[in-house]
Amino acid sequence: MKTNQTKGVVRLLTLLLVLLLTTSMAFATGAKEEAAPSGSVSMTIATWTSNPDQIALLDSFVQGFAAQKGIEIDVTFESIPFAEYNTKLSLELQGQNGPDLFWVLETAAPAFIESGLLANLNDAMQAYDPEDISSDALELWSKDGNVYAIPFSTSPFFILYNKDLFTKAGLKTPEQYASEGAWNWDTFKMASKTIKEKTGVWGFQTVDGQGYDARILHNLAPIVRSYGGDFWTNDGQVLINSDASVAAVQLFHDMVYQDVSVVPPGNQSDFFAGNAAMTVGQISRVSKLNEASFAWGIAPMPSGPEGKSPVIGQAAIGAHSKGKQAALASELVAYMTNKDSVAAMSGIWPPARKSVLESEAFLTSNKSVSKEQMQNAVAASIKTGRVLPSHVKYPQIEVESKMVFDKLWQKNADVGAILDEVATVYAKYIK
Amino acid sequence: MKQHSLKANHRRDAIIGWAFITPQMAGFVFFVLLPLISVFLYSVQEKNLLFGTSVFNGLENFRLLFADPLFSKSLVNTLIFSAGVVPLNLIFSLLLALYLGGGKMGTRFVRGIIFLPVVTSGVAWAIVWKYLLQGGDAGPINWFLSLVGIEGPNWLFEKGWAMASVIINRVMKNLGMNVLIFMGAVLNMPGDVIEAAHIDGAKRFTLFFKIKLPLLMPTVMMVAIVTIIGSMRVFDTIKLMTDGGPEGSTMVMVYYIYHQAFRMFDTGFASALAVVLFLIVLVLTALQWFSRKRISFYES
Amino acid sequence: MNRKYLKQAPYALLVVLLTILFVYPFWWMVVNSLNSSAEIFGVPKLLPTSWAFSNYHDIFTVQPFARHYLNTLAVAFVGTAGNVLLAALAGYAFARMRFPLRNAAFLLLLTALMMPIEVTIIPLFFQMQRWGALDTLVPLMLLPIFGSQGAFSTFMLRQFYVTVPNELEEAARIDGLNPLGIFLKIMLPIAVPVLSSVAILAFIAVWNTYLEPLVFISSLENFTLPLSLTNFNDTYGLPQWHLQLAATTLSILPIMVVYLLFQQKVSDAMVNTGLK
Repeated sequence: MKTNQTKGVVRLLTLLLVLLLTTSMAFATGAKEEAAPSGSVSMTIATWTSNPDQIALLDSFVQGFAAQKGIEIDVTFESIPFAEYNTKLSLELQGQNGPDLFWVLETAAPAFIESGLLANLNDAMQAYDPEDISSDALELWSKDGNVYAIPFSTSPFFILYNKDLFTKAGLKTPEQYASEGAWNWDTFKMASKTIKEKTGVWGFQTVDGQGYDARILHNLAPIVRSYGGDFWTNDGQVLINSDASVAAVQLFHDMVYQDVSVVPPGNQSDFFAGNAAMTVGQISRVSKLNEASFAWGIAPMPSGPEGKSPVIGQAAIGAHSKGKQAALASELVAYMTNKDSVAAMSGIWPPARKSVLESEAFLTSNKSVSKEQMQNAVAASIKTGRVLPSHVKYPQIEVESKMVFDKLWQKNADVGAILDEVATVYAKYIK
Repeated sequence: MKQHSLKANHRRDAIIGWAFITPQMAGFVFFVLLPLISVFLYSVQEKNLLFGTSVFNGLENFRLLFADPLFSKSLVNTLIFSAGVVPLNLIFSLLLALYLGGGKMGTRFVRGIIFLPVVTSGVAWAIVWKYLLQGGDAGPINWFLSLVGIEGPNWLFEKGWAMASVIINRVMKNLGMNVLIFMGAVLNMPGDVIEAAHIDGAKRFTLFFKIKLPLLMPTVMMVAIVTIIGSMRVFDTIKLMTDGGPEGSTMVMVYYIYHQAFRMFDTGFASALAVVLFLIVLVLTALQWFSRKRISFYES
Repeated sequence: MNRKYLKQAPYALLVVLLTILFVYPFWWMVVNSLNSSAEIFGVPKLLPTSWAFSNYHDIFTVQPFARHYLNTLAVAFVGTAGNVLLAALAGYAFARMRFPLRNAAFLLLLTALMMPIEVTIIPLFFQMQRWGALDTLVPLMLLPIFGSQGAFSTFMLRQFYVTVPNELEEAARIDGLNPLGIFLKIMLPIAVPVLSSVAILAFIAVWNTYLEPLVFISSLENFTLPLSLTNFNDTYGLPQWHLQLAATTLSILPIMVVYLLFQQKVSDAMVNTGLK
């Protein structure tokens, strides 16, 4: 009995010791203390970036705005993980302490506008030359002539490629093909296949490796649209099962299952680690290549029978209409997307403002990218590019159509029949 | 005088008694009872989380639900999942319990290790297995298979294999628990009956099916129902390993509720789904009570 | 002698097989938590290749992992303490006191035992919204106290207190202790074995909870460990496998220590849950 008790005590003490150690370890590494100066306006801005440089840049805008207004703003940046961004942000805006300003993903735009959570920015924009922002760029973020969020990034997708692997396979680089006017999907397919055969390395990794699920639209849109197809259009047509769309998807399918040159679903081989020769990315991804162990370059998306059809990813910033300082927040949104702010961001997030886009400074804004590359792969595409189709019920469409799209990812998939099924799903929502 | 004090005593007892249980009961009301009532109320509303709407719409959600191909799919998937998890779990845990109950080699050690996944979080267990089950030649499981000349599938991305993967993941996670429950039952089997059968020259096979299994049956029944209810609640495994895919083949009911409520924000429709889940669990629990009654009858 | 060994062989094989099945995943996790991202795939390694202890440093810099650890500890401690204390109070009253509606209240409470949180999560979300408790640790602390875990603890304690002999209470009453005194000085101490089982179970359950934080928590600084583990992505949203594995290893550690120290107690307690 006695020994049992001692044993129990010893165990309990050990347990307490372990807990103490884990706790103190956690404390030692340290959670940052927040200082809340009194007499200032506090604001929260939700983003999906946690990159310290980017946050610092955004912070400098807030401070600039505060100085201009002659007030003090105590700003908190809240980074919500990208994969859960829409869900988490929507839930948080239901709470008492939702953010005052927040980034909005393009796929969420119609639903957020519809929900009334975004403040009307018409008045706030007046001070900052709204005409300079191309109306195309604002289309997704407006309804009935009112603007509800302003894009801070209008960023085209382009090809990132591994120069070393192209050389090793005895190929010209995509940039060379492009300058000869031969950079089309057939060349792209051939290059991918040749690299896989000659070097054993995958020819192509889909955008962020998520081209089969989360980013399937981003993955297929450039091919589908340059073939003259589309998913659906905002005026209510479903085009995903058109002949052009089917041919385009078939091309990609052949690359994965006949040529076996594309990183397949579920495989984690990564372009940035040197395990694939090409991928699709945006200018914000380029800084990731600073540590790359290979020579690389960027080229525009290949063209198809119907010419080029670059896809643009947009991200906007809006103000919470039910926030405590909705008016001030709206002004801050407008300030953050004014000409100076946009110019400062342009090396990471390409602008929607014409004056900045056409400036020399923009073309040289990213240290890792040459002026020609910026011109060919980025600036040119912003002018002709289009965003993905959108819809108020996008989350529903995404989940339901994914189940059908999944059927594509096997060797003997009947692409035409599967896309007919996708079209049926789309048609349920798009009228 | 005496009457009065008795009455006062009663009142005192009532006050003290309720004072002791009030904290727990108040919490119960707010965290279980009211939410349960609310879920029924929400299920007859058009209620959107993002738009902040809530309008009574009768049985519309249930009409939509029974017309929704995804609902029937998630129901079928849940059934497939349970039909995979429950028998596998019961058979293996029973066999292991018989082995460990026999006091053979390594009993303590084996007991210890098969219990490790039980105390590990489902999230951690799913994360690790997601890596182990990588397709192609990237994952360790396929590497081991290639040693014996088998080309493993792309586990989590092929229809059928994905469901098999989550089932096996779940069975391994909870196996240790049922093994221990069965071990308790095995050790409580009347030794003289088994001894007698042994002496009568019963073969191992007969011994198991004619003597041991009937003796264990009440425990098996109860464990089966608890395991079924547990399998209906699978969430983290699905979310982290397959995200309901491919082709929705692992979209189970609980995950569909989450999807509808917190991804598509249709909380009214999701509540209708939750009501259906509640009714299923209710029936299973009733079965459990019933079987428990029979067991206590059997024991006495 | 030889024959005896031969007879043992299948059992030895079984033990080896089970060890591989159940220990290898953990082993693989720890080994690759010390590898670089690129070394994780391909031929499985038995020992780390690069011994990248820096992973265990990096997990604290890419996201506030220490904060997440603290959050989880706070939730687990408050949740467990509240759970055990209120369950002991109620369990004692249900077992040994006479008051109106006692049995009805107890039966009602038992319904919480079978109630999956998945059924009530949507109303709970709106309730927390009304209370202004969204994106705080409050619901995560309260749910284990009052949800099915709380009902379970109450049930276990009631079953225990029913078996306590009457004489103990009588003696205390004669000594002039009031009901609260009896509870605190006599009933709580004698229940320590049951209380600790119940506490261990509650702690493990809270530590591992995933759905509730997923729904109630949105900002990074309020994450608990299960959320944190699924969030090891770089600034572009791409997964950082080696860090995820290091963090997973660290997150399992306390539970493993509890389990290894109190192996018998934990497994016995959990088996009782299974049989509730």
